[in-house]
Amino acid sequence: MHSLEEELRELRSAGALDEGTTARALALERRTVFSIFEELRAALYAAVALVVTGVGILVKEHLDRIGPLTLIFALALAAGACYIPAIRAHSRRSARSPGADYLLLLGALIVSADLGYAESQFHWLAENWSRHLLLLSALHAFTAYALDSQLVLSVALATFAGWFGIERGPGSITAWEFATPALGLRALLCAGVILAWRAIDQRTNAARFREVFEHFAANLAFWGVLGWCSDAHLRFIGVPALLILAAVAIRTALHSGTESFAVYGVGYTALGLSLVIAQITGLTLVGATLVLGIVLTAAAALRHLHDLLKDARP
Amino acid sequence: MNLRPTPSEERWLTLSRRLRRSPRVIPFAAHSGGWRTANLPSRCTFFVLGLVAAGMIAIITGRLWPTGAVVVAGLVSLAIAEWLIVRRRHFGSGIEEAFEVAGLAMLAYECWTHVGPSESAGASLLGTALAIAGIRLLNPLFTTLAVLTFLLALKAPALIEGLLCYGVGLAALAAGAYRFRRPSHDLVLDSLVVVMPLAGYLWSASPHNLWSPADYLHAHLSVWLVPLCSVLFAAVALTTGLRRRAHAPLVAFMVCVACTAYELRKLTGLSLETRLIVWGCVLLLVSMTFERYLRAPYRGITSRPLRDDEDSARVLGIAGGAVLTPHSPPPKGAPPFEGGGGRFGGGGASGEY
Repeated sequence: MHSLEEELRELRSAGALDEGTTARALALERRTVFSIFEELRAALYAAVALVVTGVGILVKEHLDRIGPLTLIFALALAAGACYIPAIRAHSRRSARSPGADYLLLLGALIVSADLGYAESQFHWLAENWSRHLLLLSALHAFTAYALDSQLVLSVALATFAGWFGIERGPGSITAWEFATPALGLRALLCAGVILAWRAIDQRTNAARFREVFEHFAANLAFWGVLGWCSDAHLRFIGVPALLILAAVAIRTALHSGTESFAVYGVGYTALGLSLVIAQITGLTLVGATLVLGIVLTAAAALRHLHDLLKDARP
Repeated sequence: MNLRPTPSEERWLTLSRRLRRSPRVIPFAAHSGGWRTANLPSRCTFFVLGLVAAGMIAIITGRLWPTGAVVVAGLVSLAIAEWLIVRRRHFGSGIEEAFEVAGLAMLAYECWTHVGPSESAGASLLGTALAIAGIRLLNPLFTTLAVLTFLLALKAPALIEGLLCYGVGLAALAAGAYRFRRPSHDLVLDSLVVVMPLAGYLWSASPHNLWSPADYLHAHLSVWLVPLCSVLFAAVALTTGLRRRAHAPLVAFMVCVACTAYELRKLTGLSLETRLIVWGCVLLLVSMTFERYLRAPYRGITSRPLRDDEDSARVLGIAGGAVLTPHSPPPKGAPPFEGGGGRFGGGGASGEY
């Protein structure tokens, strides 16, 4: 167990830290205060994951035994109960605890499972069945805004991406599986709509959810363009689009000071360009040298951006 | 010429990271010796880029000198890593770690081809490469992997290997009481404390297959050793974590509880979905109870965050909700989504109930 007390005292005596910050930092180093916030957050997330997986299996396995109406009603009731602590905190205008936050997430996920199951049983939307995802997304977005929850907004955006036909799963994670041109276009369109949504949010909601929108839009757009890059006929659009997106991501990183966007801008671009080179040359001597050049340039660029962003800190 | 940061420089680098300050500005710059580090997202990206670059070097040398290509590539990768450390003063940046470990692994592979196709020799050589990289770079991941690889090379019975893992974990837990000057020594021990009980469980549970658990109600007493070791380690880790106010033992406790619950999953006779829902609800309630009662610190322990979330933690939080979002099913009889059709608004995620 190391302790950085002597360095903190040196900083304080040099006037680099104020008294309050020094006292808090010293308390942490001496472990007179100790937070188990991260451990509890991990446990809450694991609990939500367990319950949602259990509900998924329940819906799949026990349809005949329980009956659709009973199951739909029971799930709705459970979801409703999960919303109560968040609604109570909101009506009292008090800050919501992390526990209530994750309970709200659980409620939203149960609602998703419930409505999806109901649609699969009763075909309310017939051949337009996929629109239930749009309805779900709207419902989650409403909840996220009404109760000010980033977690529920991320569920809303994931459901919205699902409506666009962008499936989450191992198949869509690898660029090669993801890489149909149509899917790439849908991912880009989805990213565009999310960015438009972000612009509205910025005007009407003081950009409270700016970060969530930007991370979703960036990842979707990059995956879409990677899809184009890996297609022999769309490469000529894919590569310029990738470079433009990289420039936008890096500009966002420098503007907001968020390093993740620099990582997206450099990482995805290196991946896309290496993919194109590997496909064209088949990793011959020239191909491997080019990929090596791309990777080393990307590393140098990311290092430079990292230093710039770090130096910009107080 | 410094081969790595001095303990004092490393402490100042850690402090700058803890206080979210740049190590390149005064007063940190005066103490950190010009060493450059990276935070987690950048470090991971640099590591991947470094591994790809080392792979490309191997391909290039393979095309230029078909014989001895691996040795040349390994030496070139090592030379780049050492140049990055000594000249460019990278420490825990990711890229020098990737070049170093890739170079050493290539040399180990070359040695293995000369020694003969023995699995044990291969594991020993890889373990040596990882250990050298771990000690040279003070890297917890490589050190832990080295320990695991050496244990693999022993080729002992599974239960013995499992017990050895728990033993290493306990030794790391005990060594954690010592006051180190270098923060990286603590990180190495923390990594062992968290990973070794998990490895111990996986190793000792493997004889009776992880996917079909033993019938504990009618099992021999020796079979109970598997969950018992996890429970004992969990108890020791929890006590140590609370006494020392350290995170790694508490994480080890959580890992051991999860392993025990998984191992004893058939004991209740409940169906999978009931177990998932019931234990999920229990975990939720326990977590919420602790969160509620520790809002006001109890003997200094609190459930409130004492530092702002880092950038990477916020991204993980955003991704967490999206990852759990259920796949929505196509209704029975509805035409499946056809990729390539490009129907706007169509498609949708798939899955079946």
